[in-house]
Amino acid sequence: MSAITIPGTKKQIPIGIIMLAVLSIVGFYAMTIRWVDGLGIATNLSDTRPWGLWISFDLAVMAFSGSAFTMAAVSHILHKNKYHNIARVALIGGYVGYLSAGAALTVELGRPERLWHFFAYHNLHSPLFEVGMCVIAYTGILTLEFLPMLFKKLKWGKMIKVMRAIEVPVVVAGITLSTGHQSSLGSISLILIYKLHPLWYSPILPIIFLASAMTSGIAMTMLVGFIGTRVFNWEFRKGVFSGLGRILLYASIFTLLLKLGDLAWSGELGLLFENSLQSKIYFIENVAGYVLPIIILLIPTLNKKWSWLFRASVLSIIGLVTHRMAVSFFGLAGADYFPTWQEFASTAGLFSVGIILLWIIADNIPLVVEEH
Amino acid sequence: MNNNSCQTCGTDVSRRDFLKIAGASTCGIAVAALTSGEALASSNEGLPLEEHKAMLYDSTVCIGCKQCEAACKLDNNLAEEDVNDLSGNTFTIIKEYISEDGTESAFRKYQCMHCVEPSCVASCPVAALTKLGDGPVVYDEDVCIGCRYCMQACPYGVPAYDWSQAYPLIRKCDLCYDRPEGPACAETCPKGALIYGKRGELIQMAKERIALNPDKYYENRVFGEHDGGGTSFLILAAVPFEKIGLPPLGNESLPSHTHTATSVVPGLFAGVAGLMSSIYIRTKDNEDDDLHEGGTT
Ligand code: SF4
Ligand code: SF4
Ligand code: SF4
Repeated sequence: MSAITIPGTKKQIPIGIIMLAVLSIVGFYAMTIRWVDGLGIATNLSDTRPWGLWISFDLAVMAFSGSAFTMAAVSHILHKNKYHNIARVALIGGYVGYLSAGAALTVELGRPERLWHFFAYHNLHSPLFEVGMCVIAYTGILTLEFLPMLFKKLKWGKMIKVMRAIEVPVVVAGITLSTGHQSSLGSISLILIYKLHPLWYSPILPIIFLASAMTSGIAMTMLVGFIGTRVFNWEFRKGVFSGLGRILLYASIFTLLLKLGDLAWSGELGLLFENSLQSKIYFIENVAGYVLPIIILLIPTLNKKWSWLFRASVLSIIGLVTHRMAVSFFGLAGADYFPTWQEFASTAGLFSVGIILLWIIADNIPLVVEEH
Repeated sequence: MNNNSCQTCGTDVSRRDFLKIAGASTCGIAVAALTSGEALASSNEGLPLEEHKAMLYDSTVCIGCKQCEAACKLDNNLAEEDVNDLSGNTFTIIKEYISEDGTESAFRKYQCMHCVEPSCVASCPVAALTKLGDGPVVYDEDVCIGCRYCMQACPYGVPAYDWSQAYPLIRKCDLCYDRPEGPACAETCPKGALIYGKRGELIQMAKERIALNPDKYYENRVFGEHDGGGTSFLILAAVPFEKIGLPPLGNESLPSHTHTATSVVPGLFAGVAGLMSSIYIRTKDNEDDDLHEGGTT
């Protein structure tokens, strides 16, 4: 990969990271427009379209961050040790994901300076309160899971011991919290029964959210793993990627059946063949996100090839992003909406900052280490 | 790799872990207990429903003079603006519906419906919106974080922003809850199309009007007695309710759809924590300890 050397040092910065840095700066500029001139100028949101691209970003990023708990379950709870290294990658990815979703709140909320109100005021029946609490607690847990790697780097032997002692309960608490949290993200839409298009509205939305988050979490783990093997020469144990591909296959089949079964059960399969924007989006979501990856992963000659596993994971991610966009605006009744350049730029900026952060961490902390 | 611990991340595996896991599960159950709480916060505390403050709007009496709009602006200090909908500076608006062939027409007063089980109250994460014990649904502008979930959740499209503000607050009708004389709009109405009173009595009055003119009112019923779980703003109309922008909500309250989901969370927490712990213990003896074989995939 081409890179630029910082003058006076030996440090190399890949061109890709420099491009992301530019995106981050443009994104930050767009964010200042929101902070200074307000939501009315920086966004195309309105009273009948109160949520837009930023909410999709949050929902998608949080779903990908589900990789952390899915992989923790596979590697620590099921004791599939070959996944230890990649689980650590997923953990860091999830951690950075939550941080960038948190950063998005600073533009998205009408009163971002009051985020701490989540601690002071509560409505236990609001799914959004549940999400808020779980995100805060889960970010804390992820920090606890992340610290050992940092201590190891800093060679703080004592602290590593402390962390080891609490590791297993921390992992269990993390999985528990994020199961609750991924599903309560789906509960948010339950009250929108008259607003959300019936292709997406379902009383089992919490389960659909959980299943799709786990699916895309695995896809995201694969993707980050693939990129890491190229950029950082990470070496994983044999069978890690094809194994993840198999998990992705089962998870995709399960989620697709869940969604189609739900439509069939509520007698809404006919909606698929309506010629509407919504039905087209539903097709993109499910053909790209589930049908194609399932086909790829079922074909024996393809499901062992890097290039095809890579494609399957990218498709799966496209499907998830489309779903989260559908529940945050495409599928919701309201004014016509197309995001402003500020909304696009700040979203891209936050995403770029996340990737840069990931790169810095991966560059400095040995995430994937020789096992023996 | 030695038997009981993973060198790379330091998971130390031993029987004693059971205790630690038990600890984590207890933590999960504690969180669960915290989130279970009591029943839906709604009007059920405070005055009985019949005694709630309410308004009856008879669309067939309204002449569309818009004096209520002006009174509301004056009383709430709202800026004049040219809008066709409720907004951050318009808490109430009169709109006229005219059918395509021009034979049918009706006015409708838009404002907060002061729902019996308000979606906005159920969704607000920080409880900035609350239903007072005597009916009005009010907003605490010092608490709101601006997530806009209430705007999304309200089936009548009521909560609004002043989008010109950099750090806006939710704005909506509060039934003039702190005005001793009652709502300014009702007080101003020259025709008596808008009557302020107790919910029970107003429903009674509406039913009497229907009984007097059995063919006049749509479906011979008052909108808001049961719709969406009931409202404190009651509407009589001669035209179908959907024509004047009233959504067909059925009698179930919207928050009831969320409630099932939020109430299974405690069980979910306990279940997942328990399941994970038991799988952990069962699988930890058969770790798949295949050796590092170099390459990938
Ligand atoms: S009409 Fe909307 S804003 Fe008013 S109480 Fe009902 S849900 Fe809340
Ligand atoms: S915008 Fe404010 S009042 Fe509305 S739900 Fe969010 S915090 Fe509550
Ligand atoms: S009750 Fe008060 S705030 Fe509500 S519309 Fe009437 S005058 Fe305005």
